Amino acid sequence: MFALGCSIGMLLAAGSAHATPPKAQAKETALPVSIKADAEVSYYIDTDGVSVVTPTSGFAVGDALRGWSVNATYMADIVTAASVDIVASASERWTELRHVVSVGGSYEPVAVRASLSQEPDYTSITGGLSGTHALDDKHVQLRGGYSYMHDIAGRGDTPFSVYALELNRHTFQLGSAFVINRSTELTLSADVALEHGRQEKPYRYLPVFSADAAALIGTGDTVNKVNRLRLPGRMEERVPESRQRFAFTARLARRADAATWMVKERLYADSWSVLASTSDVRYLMDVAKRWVLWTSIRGHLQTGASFHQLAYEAKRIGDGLQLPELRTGDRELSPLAAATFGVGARWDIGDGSRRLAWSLSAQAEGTHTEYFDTLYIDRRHAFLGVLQLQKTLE
Amino acid sequence: MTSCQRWLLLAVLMLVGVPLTGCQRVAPYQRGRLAHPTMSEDYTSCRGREHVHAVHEGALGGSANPASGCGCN
Repeated sequence: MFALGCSIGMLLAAGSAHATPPKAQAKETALPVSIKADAEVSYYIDTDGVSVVTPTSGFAVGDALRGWSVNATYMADIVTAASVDIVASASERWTELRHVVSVGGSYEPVAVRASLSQEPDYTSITGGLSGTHALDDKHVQLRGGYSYMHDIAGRGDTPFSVYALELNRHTFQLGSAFVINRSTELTLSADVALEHGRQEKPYRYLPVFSADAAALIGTGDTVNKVNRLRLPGRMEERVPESRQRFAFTARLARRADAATWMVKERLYADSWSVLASTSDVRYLMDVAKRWVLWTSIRGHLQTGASFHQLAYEAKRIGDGLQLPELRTGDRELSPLAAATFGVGARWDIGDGSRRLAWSLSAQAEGTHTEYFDTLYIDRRHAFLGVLQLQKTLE
Repeated sequence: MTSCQRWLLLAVLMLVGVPLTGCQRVAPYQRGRLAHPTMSEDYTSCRGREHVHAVHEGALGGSANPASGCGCN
């Protein structure tokens, strides 16, 4: 059943939305900097019993002429999960709060950023540096970047000093944007991510089967059927400790008289044998002076990891069981196909002056995901609603 | 050469090769359409959506990284 949700608006308290008469504006002195503040609330819900409310807010100050800016954002995830995986593990529905704080700054052509993500049983720290360089009268813009991420995953009731799974990721990005003609721009980018560490989810347990029982298991089989056929006990997830990930992305954007097209394609491969293609097409229409509507379609196809299996077999050795060395219950490591359809609208509020501008936007997306080789569920429907309010003062 | 290395080589060749194909010369005063706000991905981006895509797709790159252990996957 396709579940529906709704978004909740947030209002910024910084200033008034009343439009200033044009003559009065002309006499005012321009601010030495531009100030932007935004607030966003998104609501996600899916047919696997997961819902996430994500309020975020951001603040940025900068001077485009002098080429500097600083920004900060705060995001919270309130996750409620009662997914079939939790039911299969005989666990209870849970609710968790995640905080993410990010800060950044730039002084052209260099930008830096750092973020901290914190949950009761998970901490992620990321830092990054990027730079740009223009060539050929700004017909070509090169961009390079590096970021480092350190994740620590644990169990909610155990200190990290006792139990922790650590993961390090080094990401290198190289890209360039090309002016094709007066209305078309092409952007190409390559990402390389080198990961080393433990990527298992501490709470993810997998059923294990005898060879005869494994042959009876099919995609999407219910918890009851799996419990009837599985061997006693359960095994923890175990995946390789290193992973090299490569992505190449091309994006073409074209502006017509009153509309913009954007086409994006990402090709992905990694050392776990996952191959993926993600296509995103976006069409934005100026329906009035201050109104823009858009629609989007996104498609994602991928193969499964080399060690992914629908049902893992254990061999009996004496009184014990010999488990497969690598095993995962992560559906995002299985072969899957996903299609997303989205719509959005943005309303630029005010008198058209950029001195004090407000904008309000709303977006909604529905995603259908088909899993070709997983237990418990073989498809998922998800809905995402987003409401954004942005204020610019310059 | 592994399949991963072949992908990387293809990406580098395209990054280097495209500038050589010759694009139209566009003067700064002719770039009004290119500078239109809707030409930027930021115009329609939102933090929540990037995060959902990142955790639902077993791929990364070209968008935000997952960087979370949240239960939404």
